Amino acid sequence: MKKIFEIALGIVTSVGGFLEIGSITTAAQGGAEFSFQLLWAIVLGGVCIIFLVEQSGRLAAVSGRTLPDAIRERFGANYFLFLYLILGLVTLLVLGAEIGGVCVALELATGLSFQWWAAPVAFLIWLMIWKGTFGIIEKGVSLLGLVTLCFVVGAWVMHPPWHQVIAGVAPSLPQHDAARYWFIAVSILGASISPYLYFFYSSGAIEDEWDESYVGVNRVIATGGMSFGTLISIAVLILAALILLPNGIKVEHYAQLPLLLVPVFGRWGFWLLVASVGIACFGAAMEITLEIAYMTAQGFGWNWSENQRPIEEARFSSVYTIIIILAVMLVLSGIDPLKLTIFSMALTAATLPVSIVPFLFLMNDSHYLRGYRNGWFSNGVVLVIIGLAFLLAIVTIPLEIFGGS
Amino acid sequence: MNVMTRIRFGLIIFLAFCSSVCLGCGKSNAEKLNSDLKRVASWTATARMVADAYANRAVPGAYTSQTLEEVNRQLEQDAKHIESIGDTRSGDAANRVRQIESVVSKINMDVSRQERAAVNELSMQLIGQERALGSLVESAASAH
Repeated sequence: MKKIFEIALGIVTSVGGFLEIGSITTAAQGGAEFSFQLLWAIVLGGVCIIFLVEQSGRLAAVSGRTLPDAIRERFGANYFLFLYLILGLVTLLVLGAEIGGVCVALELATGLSFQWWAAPVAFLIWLMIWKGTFGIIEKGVSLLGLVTLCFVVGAWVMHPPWHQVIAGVAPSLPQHDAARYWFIAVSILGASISPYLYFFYSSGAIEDEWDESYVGVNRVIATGGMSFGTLISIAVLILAALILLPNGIKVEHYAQLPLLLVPVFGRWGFWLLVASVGIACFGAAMEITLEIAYMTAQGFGWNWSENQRPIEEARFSSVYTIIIILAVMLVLSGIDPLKLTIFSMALTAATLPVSIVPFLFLMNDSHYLRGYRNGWFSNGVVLVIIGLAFLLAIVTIPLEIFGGS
Repeated sequence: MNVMTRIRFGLIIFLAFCSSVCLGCGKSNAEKLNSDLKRVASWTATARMVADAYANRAVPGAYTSQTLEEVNRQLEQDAKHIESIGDTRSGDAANRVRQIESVVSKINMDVSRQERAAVNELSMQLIGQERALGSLVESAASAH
């Protein structure tokens, strides 16, 4: 009974924690410019993240090690440092985008420019991490994040042409603006296959004291949570295709996002959008901040746990404090939050191989996984994901130049 | 296939990809105009939808005002860019954008006075402007 409750809670928190500013904006851009044609990118990204999250959870449950721990141990300090620098930089940009997202939600709600909100929002994130426990952060904010299900309700209410929606799941070539099409596809994949998701998940498994008996629970949570999360992104794309595309609106500014829900829910639509963006980004910002701090502490062998008092792990607490300060400076610098989001999502896609290749080795190492190593199917999927990651790494920069605007 | 052959093969594929993407970016004036007009149409539709939502009390005044200001900022940039394109239709197109800017400014003034009925009327004017833009886009598209 306890495990069933944990599965339900795990799925709910995964759903609530899945959507963030990157997946909202890239899905909205895809729908507004290419109708349902880019649904395949969301589905492909969703399948990839299900496998990566499940494997990182299994590694943590069986070996008692988080992903950075195992990478440092298996590949040595040099590779870990390389991964840490690349992932740290990209994740910092994503954190800036998420903090920017919360600020934009507050700007939409109050009319006060987003930059004025940067410092208070950053302080609130820091305070929640400083005072809160892992449970509060993981479950509390993610439960609130369920407000993002309004996109699913909205898409359902709009009665989309289901045959066209289903056709969009199969990859197809663009009829116009090829560079733009592929750039948005890459950004969607970058937003879906976020390394912070599987790195954070493996740390969460250790925080929640998972052991071998949680392998099945992990599988259900990873599959259920990420699938429902993907469903929300699909709903955003459907809404954009049904509302923005017929009006010829391309998503180039956050102020255009409320138009996704206002035609469906009227006045409620505006506030649901503000709440969805604000809460989803706030939750993601806390998870990303913690993820960078976890990775730093785990990589360098420091004490770490969100459940301990900050005084007992001063270096861990210092890292997340510094990370928040750096990220808020990005927002204060006046960079357009939407541009920062799109840029960081594309950069995430470009750097995926660095964090995905180690899966192939770790998940087949009997020293870590014992009897829970990957079978031929999981290995096959990881190989496909690695191939996709390398392809994304090669094409992202040219696409950023030619299709980014 | 040895390693060097594979690397060469990979490089050829990569360069072919880059050149196929590059082929799409050497735009003619008509294409540039077409792409700018589509942006203008997108911002005009944004202004119209936001104004409609305000008239129906679906969005707050502060949000409406800020969005309309943003629309005008973007339209101003687009008008300047369109003027700089050396195309015979640039002048007409830039004038059209200025007219839209003027309507959006009027809507914003009515929003600050909370005159929803006037906002609704001006939003109808934007529909007319969108239609006119549509024919400009079509003429630019048929030119390339």
